Amino acid sequence: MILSYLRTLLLYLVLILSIRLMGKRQIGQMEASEFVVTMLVANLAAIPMQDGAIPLYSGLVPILTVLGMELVLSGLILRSVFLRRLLCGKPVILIDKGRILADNLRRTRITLDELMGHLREKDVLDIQTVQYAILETDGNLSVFPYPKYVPAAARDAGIPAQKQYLPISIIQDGRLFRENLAKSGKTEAWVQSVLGQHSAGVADTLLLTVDESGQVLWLGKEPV
Amino acid sequence: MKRSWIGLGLLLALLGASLLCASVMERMHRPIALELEQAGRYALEGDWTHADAQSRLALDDWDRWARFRGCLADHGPIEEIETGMASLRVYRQVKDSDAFAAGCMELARQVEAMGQAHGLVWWNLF
Repeated sequence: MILSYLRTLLLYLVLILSIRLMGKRQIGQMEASEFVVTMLVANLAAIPMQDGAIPLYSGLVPILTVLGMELVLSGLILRSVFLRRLLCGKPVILIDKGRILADNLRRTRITLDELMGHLREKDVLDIQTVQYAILETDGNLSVFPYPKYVPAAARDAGIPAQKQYLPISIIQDGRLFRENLAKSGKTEAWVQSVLGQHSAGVADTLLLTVDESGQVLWLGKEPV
Repeated sequence: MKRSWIGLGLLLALLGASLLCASVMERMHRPIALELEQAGRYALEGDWTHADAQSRLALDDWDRWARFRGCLADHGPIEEIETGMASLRVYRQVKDSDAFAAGCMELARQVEAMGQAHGLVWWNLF
């Protein structure tokens, strides 16, 4: 039993490291080949986890080999258009200037029902409002309505937009991030003064952020 | 590109390690198989002194590589061979030449197969 436990720990760590090295966080961002690799790697790890009679390398070597191939191919794909087309395919236009391209729908094996479903996911009810719809290589559909149907931005309304700044998290869930504190140009004394205004300490703080304009956000933890 | 180099390095390291392990496994097991076969032949000829010496040599060589083998080979076949080795010890003690010779030949084939299972030959790919 202890051997199963240790094998599982080791394989789990190797899996996590492999997925991290591949560099994608969300399944939705993966190309088809990357998704296959992720599923494959998970299944490869399960084999020696379940059967103690199988040597550990039976799972480790295939996982590391798949990881190595994925890393090499991802680098080659960056440099070679041909490989990119071969392994990732290319985006396909499904709606061009408001016209549904039936040939492309057939080629990508997407039905009209599926197309309508994808449009609804993008909050589009009326297909006539869509100027372009492009099926990306990762399977997502990019939808571009005609400009007259795009929600007005501040610029369109002639309203001068306020500048916006990226808030930096100084404290998250009771933990002070010194690296972020340094990036924000603030000091611990400043943190203490802000916390003092809310009669709270670091441990009582859920979130403390500050941006370039000096805007501070403090959120306290709910009392248990 | 740095990750690609890491990937390439990983692939080459795995290739090197795999080739090395395959070579070691084959070279480790072939002598043991030959020793077992020879022990079987001696037993059939009635030469228990040499049969005993050869089988002990084979058992010692088998035990010497136990840890390395345990890391690479499936444990099922290892246990089968070790069960066979234990039987050989009994046949040797009671001097049952037929059973000893048969046991030696069977073990020799199993040990040889274990070594060849990791070899780089085309039929192992399928």
